[in-house]
Amino acid sequence: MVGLIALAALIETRILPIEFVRAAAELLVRHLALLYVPAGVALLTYWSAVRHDLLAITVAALASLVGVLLVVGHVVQRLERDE
Amino acid sequence: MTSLLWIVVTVLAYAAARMAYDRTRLAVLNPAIVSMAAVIVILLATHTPYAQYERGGRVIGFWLGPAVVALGVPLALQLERVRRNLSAISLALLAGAVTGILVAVLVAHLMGASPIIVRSLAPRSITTPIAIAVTARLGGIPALSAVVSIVSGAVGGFVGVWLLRVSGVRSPLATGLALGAAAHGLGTARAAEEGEVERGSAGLAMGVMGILTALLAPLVVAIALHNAR
Repeated sequence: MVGLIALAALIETRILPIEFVRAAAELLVRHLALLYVPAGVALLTYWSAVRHDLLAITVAALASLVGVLLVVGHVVQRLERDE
Repeated sequence: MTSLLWIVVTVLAYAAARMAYDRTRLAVLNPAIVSMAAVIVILLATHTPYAQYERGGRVIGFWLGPAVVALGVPLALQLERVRRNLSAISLALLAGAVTGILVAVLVAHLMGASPIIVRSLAPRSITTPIAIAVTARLGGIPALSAVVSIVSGAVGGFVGVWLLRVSGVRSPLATGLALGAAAHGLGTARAAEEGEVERGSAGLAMGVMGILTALLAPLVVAIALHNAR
């Protein structure tokens, strides 16, 4: 997290030329999904803890999704300056 | 030797899932979910304990750290956009980050989910690699956060634009920011189909939400669970 902010700041302030890191960063980000496959597979070992709360997990995730969409969409639309 | 085998299996599962998705473009064939399911089926079928798979898996998982840092590159490319609407964007994303954590945590808690599950839902709205890191720190189940983050991103990419229009949001900037904030990577992919402003603002929202949620999640979870008791 600190690394993410530091990298963005170094590029933004032109201390670090973006061409130095762009190719490597784009490769990692393009195949990001592969990198978290092992983390997701670990769900196998937690299945007994998760299965009882599947309904709560689904409803909570959907409520959070709709909440963020509407809050961000409406706050921006109300406050943004016209083009 | 066996750890090499499981690295190869994981990469092949991902390559096949990615190819299937690129051919069909079906949202249900999300490459990450399909490759996880394929690896789980192979482990169960071969009676392989997770601990043995993990010796290979951690070689791949190691790259999540550098990948999170790499997300700083697209973020830096989008920072230009903030200047004009700085206060609107900051306020909206701050409100969005708190909403995303609070709603997920409170709903799960009120529905009786166990504390470890509730903590795993806090980083629901953010990109999967950061969600995994946040949950590991909160003491939840990173694997659950990964799956919840991926699936809700796919759902948000699928219904997000429709939901925004129905609720009266028409502005391209608001649409892009909302999609990136609520549905991170797949929301951003969907926003890109709407236009250039939507694509850029979604990418920005996804990066900023990841940072804000990582910073705010411990505090919001503690306050929410303390008061909900």
